[in-house]
Formats: sequence, C-alpha cells, structure tokens
Amino acid sequence: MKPQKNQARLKNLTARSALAFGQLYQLASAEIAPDLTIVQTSSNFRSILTDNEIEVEGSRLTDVLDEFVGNESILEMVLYGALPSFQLELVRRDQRDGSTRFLTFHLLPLEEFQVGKGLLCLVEDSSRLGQLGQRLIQKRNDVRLMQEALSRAYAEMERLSTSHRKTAEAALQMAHLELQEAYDRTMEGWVRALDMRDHETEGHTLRVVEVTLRLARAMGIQESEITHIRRGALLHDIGKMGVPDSILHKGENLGDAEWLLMKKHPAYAFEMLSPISYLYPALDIPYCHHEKWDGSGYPRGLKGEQIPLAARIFAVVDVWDALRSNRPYRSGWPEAKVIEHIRANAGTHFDPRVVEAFLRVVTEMAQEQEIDG
Amino acid sequence: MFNVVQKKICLLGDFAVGKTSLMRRYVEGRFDDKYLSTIGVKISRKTLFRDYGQLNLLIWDMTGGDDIGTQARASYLRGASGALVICDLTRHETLTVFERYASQMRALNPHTPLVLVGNKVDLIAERVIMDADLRLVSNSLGSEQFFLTSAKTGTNVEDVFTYLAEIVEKQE
Repeated sequence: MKPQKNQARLKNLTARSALAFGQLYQLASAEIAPDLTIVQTSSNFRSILTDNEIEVEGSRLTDVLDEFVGNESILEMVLYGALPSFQLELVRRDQRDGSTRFLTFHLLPLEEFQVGKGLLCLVEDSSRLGQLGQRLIQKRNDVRLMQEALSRAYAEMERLSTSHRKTAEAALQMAHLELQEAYDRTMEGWVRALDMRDHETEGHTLRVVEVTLRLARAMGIQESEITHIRRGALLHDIGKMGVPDSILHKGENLGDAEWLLMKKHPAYAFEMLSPISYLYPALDIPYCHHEKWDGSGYPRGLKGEQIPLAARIFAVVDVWDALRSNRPYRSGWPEAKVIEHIRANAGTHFDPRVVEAFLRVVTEMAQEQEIDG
Repeated sequence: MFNVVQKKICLLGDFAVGKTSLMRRYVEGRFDDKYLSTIGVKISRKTLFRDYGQLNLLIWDMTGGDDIGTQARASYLRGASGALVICDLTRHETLTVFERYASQMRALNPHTPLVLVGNKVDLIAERVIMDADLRLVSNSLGSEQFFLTSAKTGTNVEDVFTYLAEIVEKQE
C-alpha cells in the first residue's frame, strides 16, 4: 500500500475514533473543516438542533448553531493553536417536546488527535448541573429580593417615622410659640393695668425692661435666662396690685404702718406668681428687687450674693430710671447726679460688680444717643 | 442580492432586572409575571427585514450577578456586536453594578456600543432611579441615549432593540 493512501486511511480512522470517543461519553460531536463547514457528525448531533429541516453536513457551523455566531475569530484562534480550546457552558436550549436542556459546547483542534487541520465540536448535555444550579440560584435570588424589599420597607418606615416626628415637632413648637405669645400678651396687659393704677411714669416699665436686658447681656447672662429676666422685669411691681389705692397713691409721705404694707408688695408678687409654673423662674426680680447688697433691704433682708443676680441687676436699673423721672412730689434728677448716686451706693445698696457694668452700659447708651441725634 | 447579516447582542445586568422578560417581550411578544432566574445563557433569534435582505439579531440573555465564573462569562461576551445594560428602576443597587458589566464587555470587545435601559417603568410608585441618575451612567457608557422600558406593558421595548440594531448595523 502506498504511504499517502495509508496516511489518508489513518486520518479517517483517527477522526472516526474522535467521534466514537464522543459517543462513548454520550457527547454529540461534529468534525469541522478549517473553513468552518461541518464535515461529519455523530448520530445524536441532530438532537441538539431545534430546526429539523436544516442540512447539517456541508453547512457552516455558524449557520447551524447560533452559539458560534460572532465567535468566528475565536474558532480560528483554536484552529491555528492560538487558543487551546473554547468552551461555552450551560447554554439553555428549549426542546421540541417543551423541555429544556442545558448544553456545554467544547471546541478542540483536531490536531490534538493528530488528524490534521480542523475542529472537533463536542456537545455535552449538562442539564443535571443546569437544573440543579437553576434551583439553587432561584432560591438564593428569591432570598436576596426579599432582603432588598425588607430593607427598602424598613428605610421607608424610618423615613415616614422621621417625617411624622418632624411634623409633630413643628406643630408642637408652633403651639409652644403661640402659647408663649399669649402669655406675653397677657403679662403686658397686666403691666399696662398696673402702670395705669400706679400712675407710673409713661414708659417706665418698657424702659427698665430694655436697659435690664442690655445690662444682663453685658454681664454674660445666657439667652435661655433672658426670657425669664424679661418677664421678671415686666412684672417687677405686680405685687402692688395687693396694696390699697390709698397707700399706693399717697406718694412719699407714708406712715410707718403704711410703709409696712407698701413693703409687702414683693411678697404679694411671690404669692401671685409662684403658682404659675411658667412664671416661677421669673420671680427673682418681682420678689427680690428691693433687697440691698448690705442686707438692709426687704422683704427678707438678703445680703450680697444671696440676692439673685437678676434682682441685683434690676435694682440698679429701677433706681436709675426712677430718679431720672419726674414725680408729682419732685422733679427728675439730672443724669450726672443719678450716676453719682448709683456709684456712691455701690457696695451698700447695689452690687459693685453690677454698678461697674451698668456704668459701661449707660456710657455706651449715651454715645449711641449722640450718634443718633 | 439577498444578504443575511447576523449580529450577536448581549443583555447585561444584575439578577431580576428583567433581562429575560425584555427578550421574551421583544422576540415572542409576551410577558410572564413570574420571576424565574436564568442560569447560563439563552440565545434567541429575532429577524429584522432590511432593504439588503435580513438582519438576524442573536440575543444572548445571560445569567445576572456573579452566578457564573469570569472565564465562562467572558466566553459569553466574546464576539458581541452590542449590548443592553439593564437596571431595575425600583432597585437602586442594580444601577451601581453597571460598571462591572461594562468594563468586562469593553475589555473583550473594545468598541462595542452599550445602551443603558431602565426597566420596570410601569412601577411608578416604586421607582427610585431617576432620569438624572440614568443620564449620568449613560454618558459614562458613551451612549447618547438611555431608554425607560417596561417588559410588562411593552413600553419602548421595540424601540430600544431597534436603536441598538441600527447602531450595530452602522458599525459594519
């Protein structure tokens, strides 16, 4: 036998062996020529196709199997040894009977089998692996979706709860502000009534409130305390409501018994205001503004720092405004005389530290007036 | 002369974004509400008739998430002429993973056009991914346009596949 003929027979035999190898492992197989036409196939190869009419042998691989469309360059790389093989795992194919198969395609160079140029396409049925994987992934994805949904629901609940809380807080704050406003209007009403009854100098209360707050801030009192000081200053003489008109309107010529009654007005203020919880922190001024630094004041004879700071501040401002103002029984003092009186009483009537701060404040106020006017 | 052109296009995206539903709506014109995870890959063919003959789109609907190894995924992506990168408009996390899919695709097929799709637009009350988010991602993919689709109602499904088909045809 001629060597060439022997070689051809050997090639044919080896190609058949490769196909038989495929069949042994129940793999569908096809021998592919270098131009990618299908040369021959195993008997079960056709079972992987969905189109029965298609002519397999002699057709291009890409016309028979959609899996290889676009992959022509990869197939050539395998064909010429640039890639050892090419594999497509778990390709799902619907069968004519309605079932689903998972296939894995392996492309190997025929040179592996020493049969010259070409490709061997082996098709493995990986349905068991595919179905198992499908069940596992389905369960895992269902759990993941549920976790995501729960996490979204939780976030939404958090958002709604925050939003509701904020709305409620805003409503509460608004109600609180409205209540404060109502309290303040009520207090101002009391003060006006009291001023009218007391024939107090026009604007005395508003002036002392303004200067008291300015002095309090200059002495570093926190803003949270300022509200109470404002209320206390507004209501400083509220206790005079308990003093009879005959005494209140008598001026300075009061008898001892009358003075005793007049000096009760801080205690009346305490009795009137202490049951009102929101005014309780404002009591220091109405109750203690007639106390004196040296302990000679009333109603309790408190001394030095026993006297609340708000009351020590107010005491200076109240005297300052009273002395500057005209009264039925005397004219208002000149500013310099008033300041001198206050300075002279630092350490006896007034807290010296408060007086020091007060003198700075009145100087500033005078400078501002000069600029304004 | 009657020509047949075949183009491979891939559907990419996280699990349960609706890749299979979009493919089914486009190829078979139907929708199934039941969620069935895809494992591996399913290739479907859609034939579009053209002046020159026909264009066969081979649509690769592949498993989402990390359900398959890098090598196996690479073999799915090789030779693709284009891809739809799909997110679920009701799940923000499905937009954040687009970069991984895009970079895998671009590493294997550098000039492949990628088009961003926000699916499940019919779920208006549950939507969390907004147009501005999609525009940002779409620009980063180098795409001029993104699509809002609903596999359930069919909104824009035909349009997005047609848009991608026209881009991949022009690339030839």
